[in-house]
Amino acid sequence: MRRPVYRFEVRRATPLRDGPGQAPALTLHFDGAPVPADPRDTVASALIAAGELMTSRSAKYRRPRGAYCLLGDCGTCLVRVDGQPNVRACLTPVRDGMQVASQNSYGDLDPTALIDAVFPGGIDHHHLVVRPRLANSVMQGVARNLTGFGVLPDRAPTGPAWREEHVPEVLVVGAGRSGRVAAARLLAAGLDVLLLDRRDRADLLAWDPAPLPAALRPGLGVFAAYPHEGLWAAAAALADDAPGDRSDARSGARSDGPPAPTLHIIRPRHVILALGAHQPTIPVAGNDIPGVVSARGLRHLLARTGRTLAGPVVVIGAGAAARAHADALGATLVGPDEVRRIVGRRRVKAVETSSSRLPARLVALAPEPAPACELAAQAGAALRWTGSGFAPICDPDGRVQLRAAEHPLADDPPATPPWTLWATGALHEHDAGEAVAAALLRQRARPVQKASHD
Amino acid sequence: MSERRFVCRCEDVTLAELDHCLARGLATVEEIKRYTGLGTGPCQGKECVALLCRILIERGAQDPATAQPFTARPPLEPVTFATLAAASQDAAADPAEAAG
Repeated sequence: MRRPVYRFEVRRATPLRDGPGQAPALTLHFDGAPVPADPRDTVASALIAAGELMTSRSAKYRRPRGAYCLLGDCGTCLVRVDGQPNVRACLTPVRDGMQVASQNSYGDLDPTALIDAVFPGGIDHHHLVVRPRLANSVMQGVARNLTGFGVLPDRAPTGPAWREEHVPEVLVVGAGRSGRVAAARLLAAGLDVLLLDRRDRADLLAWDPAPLPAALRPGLGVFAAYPHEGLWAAAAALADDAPGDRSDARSGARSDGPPAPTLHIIRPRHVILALGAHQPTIPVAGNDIPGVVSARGLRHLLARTGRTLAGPVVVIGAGAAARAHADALGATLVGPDEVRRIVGRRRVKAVETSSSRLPARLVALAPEPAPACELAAQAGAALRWTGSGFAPICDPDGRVQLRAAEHPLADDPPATPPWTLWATGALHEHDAGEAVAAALLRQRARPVQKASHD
Repeated sequence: MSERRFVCRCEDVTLAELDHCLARGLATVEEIKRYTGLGTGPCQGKECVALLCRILIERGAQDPATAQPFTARPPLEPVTFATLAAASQDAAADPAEAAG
């Protein structure tokens, strides 16, 4: 089979290559330069495949940063897409002609070396140029200019945001394996279910090929739970809010901007959280260099895109899960304690241990995952330390103990929690979704009681 | 490039800065968040807060039985102000909703 050869492969050692039979049919533009892409790519996978690992500079030390987790959680793959700032490259599918730009990157200027020279020990912003007063006011002005991330959108949306209200009996958040199974069981029992996930269908099917329930609304990220108001809020996680689903033919609507976004308000009776886990960083030297990615995210990227690794990868981690990641990636495994530093500036080059220097085009961190507990906490759950993160305190069925709903500002008396909350998957003993769905159906079949007796 | 070990990449908080905090007697998640800005960037703690607690527990500064993260405030995902503006409107007549 003939494999196309790219300028990029000649110019620099790229970390990924096209999968079998894959030929890039699309072109996106990154800071003006053409980047070939396959229809299965995300913006992040296309950029990594082209060797464009740096997507921004950091807030304080102005260090080069790129995509890390590749799963939608971390904050460093944010890019500007077609004039919209702070779009997650790892979740956004490519489109032909897409204009992608790095943020806070200063073009070819490299302020990192200067900052390293002036502040070798780190910046203590509590004591930096506090006196004399004149110098302080100059410094404050500089600091304010540095703190923003990205710049405002090119254009305002074509009209005011839509609002869509949902009143399902059960809201399932997260359509990985457990969420999908739980939603399917409840749908089969005749319940009105809404299943939300911030990922698109291609991403969900790469994660797990099991069929997607009809109740799924992909591409919607749940960003808040408000127990006092009895509602959950979600918004589109991708740059395009379902283009083509509707026409913005409202009076006064303009046609020269991005489509108006939609705020989704959900008022469920029961909620199942199936959000999986985050990939914390591992604090070895140089753990922020572009090309340091999460092992879980890298494996997922390969599954989604069909791409393969084009060069050596080093996995940093300990334990059986890290070993499994290294085996799956065909990579060398190094324990965090053995790492002296990760080498590179705008891209990783190698991992130095006390005894050797291992070349690497990507470094994959394999931390112990931390359960995604944030929405549970907002919804009224108490949390416990699991050894690697926090999880909601549940009964054996996965039903979460809830605090009374208090308003953070108003003096209203605490109210009975407006929903029952359940946890599954990584949030509860790695239940596969079956047990939690069965328990919810049992609880629902019980004679109706006053909520206060519950 | 100098060798920094990052605990929080959004706000550039290094292990050395964490040591600096502990030396000043700031040893809880809330105090460290307020002093360094850890967890207040775009990821809102998804990458760093579990790691911070783990380090504090390993160093004996935090009892695992009472460990808690900082408050997880909305929004947990990047959301535009344009989207949030819909919260204060009357529900817009939405053709997609009417059709569905």
